[in-house]
Amino acid sequence: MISGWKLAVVSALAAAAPVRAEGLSCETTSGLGCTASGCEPERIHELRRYPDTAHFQFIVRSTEYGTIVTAAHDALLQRAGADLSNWHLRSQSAAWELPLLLDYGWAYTVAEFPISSYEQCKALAGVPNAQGPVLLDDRLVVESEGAQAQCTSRVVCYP
Amino acid sequence: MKPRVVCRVATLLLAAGAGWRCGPTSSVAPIVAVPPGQQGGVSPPQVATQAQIRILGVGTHDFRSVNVAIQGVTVEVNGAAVEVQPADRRIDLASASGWVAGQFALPAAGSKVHVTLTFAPDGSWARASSSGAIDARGIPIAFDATAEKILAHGSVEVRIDLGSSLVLDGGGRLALLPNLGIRF
Repeated sequence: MISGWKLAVVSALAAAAPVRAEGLSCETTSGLGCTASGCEPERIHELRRYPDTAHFQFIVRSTEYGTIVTAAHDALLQRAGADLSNWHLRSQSAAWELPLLLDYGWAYTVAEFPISSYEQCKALAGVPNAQGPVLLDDRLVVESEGAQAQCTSRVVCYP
Repeated sequence: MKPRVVCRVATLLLAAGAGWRCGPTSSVAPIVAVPPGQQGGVSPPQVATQAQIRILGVGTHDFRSVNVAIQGVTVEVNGAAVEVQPADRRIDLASASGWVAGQFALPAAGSKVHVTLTFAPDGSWARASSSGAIDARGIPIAFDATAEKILAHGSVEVRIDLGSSLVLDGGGRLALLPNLGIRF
């Protein structure tokens, strides 16, 4: 949790030297692709059996000092009511709430999204009559003063 | 903002505006943002009443071309749709130049602006020795901004990182999953 005095100090610094837009970025993946050599996070994760769960990971990075970051979904996981309020700074196990204070650093969070059936995918995508693969995109929007970054990952549901 | 201050800001911005890059088909001149009804009286050489939505590919790696088409641009100001003048339709995100996706009337100070930008489903890419299709289906690019952010420079720029936004899908195509930054 960001403490009040820390937020006040950083806010004052930010006012004195506004954060530049290019210093903020984010990354997201929607599942793990596993082979004999191991598992890797995937930007496009395919679901072919149900029920299944999409495992989303989100990372926000700042290359600036004293960046105060907010984050939100504006697509799939927002509709699903996923909680994005708790983030981990670097490799710390403790969770921090938004807004995050990032000094040349990064933070991550995860969200699991169970999908019970192909029909649920179609309903979420707003294409109830679809017969082929259905695309479910989720977008993370992170923002600091003067900067916004967005990143997208995808779940593909097969019949 | 007082007229004298507006004029000073306008003069500075006009000088800075020369740094903007426009695509080959764009004939839009650099603009100076002055909110409606607040135009300075000391012979401003060029005062725009339109805000621009610009789009630019960055991190192009070895792509020679990344061709996509802008299918639609919508702008809402305080929840009400406003007219958008389309500009560049077919764009090459691997080009060093930026592109103008659309223009709309400068919003009044204090208002909230919501922008969406949709690509046509099919695009194409090329490297030195290979080429292929781009699947540009997916959710539209969308963002919110305060009028003040847009009025600061009279434009907003969407910077798509091509290195992380084009992802190989199961069908052998590159899917456009935008990783981007918004510059006001």
